[in-house]
Amino acid sequence: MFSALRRFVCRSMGGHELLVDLVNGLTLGAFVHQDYQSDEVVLSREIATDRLLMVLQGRLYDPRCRRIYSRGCLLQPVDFFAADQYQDLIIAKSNCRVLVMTRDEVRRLLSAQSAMTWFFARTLSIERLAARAAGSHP
Amino acid sequence: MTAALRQNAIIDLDQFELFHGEVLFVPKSPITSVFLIEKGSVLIFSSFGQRVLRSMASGQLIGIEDLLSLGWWSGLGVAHGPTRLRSFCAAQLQTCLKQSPESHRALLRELALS
Repeated sequence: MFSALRRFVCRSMGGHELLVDLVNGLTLGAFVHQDYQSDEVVLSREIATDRLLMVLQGRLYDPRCRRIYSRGCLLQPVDFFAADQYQDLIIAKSNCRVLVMTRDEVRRLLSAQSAMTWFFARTLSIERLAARAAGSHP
Repeated sequence: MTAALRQNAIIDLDQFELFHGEVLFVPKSPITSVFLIEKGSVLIFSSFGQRVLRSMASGQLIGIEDLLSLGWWSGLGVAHGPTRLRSFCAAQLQTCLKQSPESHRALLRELALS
């Protein structure tokens, strides 16, 4: 069941393509790109959350959540913002390309565009992790 | 968290303490402030007080979810043990979020849906 906040954001905000706008206008060459073949592991469990990955091309798969990630998706952003380590394995479902941003780069990028987003993202992510731990994650 | 709020000119209104069992907010009352727990904890009960929905501890911010989605408190907040809180202006937080770029709100949406 969606929480009130989740209903709010569903009503008021857009889709994954908007996430690509986060990095639009930037020189993407400044960021690391990584290419993966189908079935390759893109993110392993218990890797430090010192980087955030965004899908630029292709499709990826989280076997535990049975979730597909496509263009514009961030890989496990809640863990990135609120935890020390990523929790789930993510595998390339097709040949794909991901953008890799370090923690500092993400923070600088968000803070340059809006002063409070980093703070809100951290607060929301901590709430989501707490809800999962309490067993209320849908 | 306090530093982030202050750096962004979100005025902290007050620091105050509650005794064990003191009520911080009641259901359906409008949110004018959100609270950072500096010491102790706050239990949030369902609107009729039958069960505990959340236990919020030191360092956590109370009220963001309700503020963004409802504008009023959905539960009953009660101090659990001696508790020290700092309050921040809710209206300024809302303004700040509304002024953020669309892509940032999409990011927050992604987080809320994760």
